[in-house]
Amino acid sequence: MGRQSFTIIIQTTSSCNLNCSYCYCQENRDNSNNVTFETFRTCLSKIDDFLDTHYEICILFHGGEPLLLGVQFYEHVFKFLKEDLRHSYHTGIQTNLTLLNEQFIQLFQENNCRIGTSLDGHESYHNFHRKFGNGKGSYENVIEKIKVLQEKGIRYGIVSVINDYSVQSPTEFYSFLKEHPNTPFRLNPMFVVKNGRIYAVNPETFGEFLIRVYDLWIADEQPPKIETFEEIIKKLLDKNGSTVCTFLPDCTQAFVTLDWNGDVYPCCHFVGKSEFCYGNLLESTFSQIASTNIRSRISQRAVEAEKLCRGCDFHEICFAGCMANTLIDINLKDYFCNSYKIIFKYINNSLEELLIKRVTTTPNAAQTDKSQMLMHFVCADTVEP
Amino acid sequence: MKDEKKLTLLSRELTLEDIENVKSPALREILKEHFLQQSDELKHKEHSKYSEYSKYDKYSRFPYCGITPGD
Repeated sequence: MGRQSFTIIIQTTSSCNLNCSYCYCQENRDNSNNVTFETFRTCLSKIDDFLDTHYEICILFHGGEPLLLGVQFYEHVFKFLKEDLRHSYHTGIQTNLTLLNEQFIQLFQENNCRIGTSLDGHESYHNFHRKFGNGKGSYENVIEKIKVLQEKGIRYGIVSVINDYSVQSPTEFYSFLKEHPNTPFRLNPMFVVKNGRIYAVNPETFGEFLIRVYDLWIADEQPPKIETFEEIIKKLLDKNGSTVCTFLPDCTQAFVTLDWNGDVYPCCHFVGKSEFCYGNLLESTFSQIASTNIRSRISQRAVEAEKLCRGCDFHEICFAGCMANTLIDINLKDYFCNSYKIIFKYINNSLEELLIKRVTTTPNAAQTDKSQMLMHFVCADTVEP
Repeated sequence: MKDEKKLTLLSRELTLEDIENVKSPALREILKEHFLQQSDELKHKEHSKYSEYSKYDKYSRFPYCGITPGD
């Protein structure tokens, strides 16, 4: 039987032992608290009771730095999940790795908890923004822990934030990716709004950066695993082909974020913003949380996107992108709309050149809209025209 | 019944052999995965009364985490 995944992002804490300048948690750090096991258990139990059995629950421990909660917290968590959760589930943790020790490694291995980390490129690129509180870069510490994971044969994935420095050096960045074979990479553009000011890479520059990296990747005999491109290609082949939340018509159907105090938000980027808080799960049932007006309002973004993006060839690929990447009004387009257009168009043309030709003989081609036409492919290299 | 050994990209069908001949290793792997997934979904639709859920038989991905649990 097929399963629908429901992802719960646990905002374990907004505290962190690093002080990365682009972190969206920084504004909440002054009032930082850690989620307690009791809060976690109560909230998870309510979600577990509410969801239909065909759902599979994905639990992502996020932060801040989730390892700050210590081994004992996670021992309780995994015991509870194993013994009391009704649904099948998977777990993962996104950590800067600097606090990883043998105890954590053993616990995560025993409980099949997948590990994700952040590395923004070679040392100078990574340390440009990702520093400890004393200003020292964290690159060496992260690499040291990555080597431990490699020695133990533990799989891990990497998020690379493309910053204002690395975006200028796609070739150099690609050589960094090549040093991590078999490691899934996600390439995210730097974007944070602090005190009403945007700190972000230029969308067009980011689009050009992706093109350069894509060209190196597609021609590479031993390519690294770049999920960002895989997801775009899958989307171009089949608009349901990738389920990355950025390009879902309504991400609220598949994701929630639980803050340390039981408050529920659509995503960790909205934590602390009361206008996006669905309610508190210690005080409400999940049924009440799921039917809140705020959630319904956010779900309407897909309808707004229809109007906003009318005429765009890629509307059905990205659905106006990520609402966390809008500035004030979530009914606006993603700040990186132009980046997406640049890379979607480039990859689409590249697929046609590399192996695919658009079918132009479809009888109803004249009536087919442009976004559907993008899906009409045949293999030119290997199939007789 | 549709041939499970062909991947349809709307109007044309590719065999696994066609995909094996794609020059770019990165693209070849994605097409293979897409091919296998479509075959699975096809089987699923034909053999399961729960076919309405088959399109969700994948994990939603959150790009601010380096991994997707369950993958």
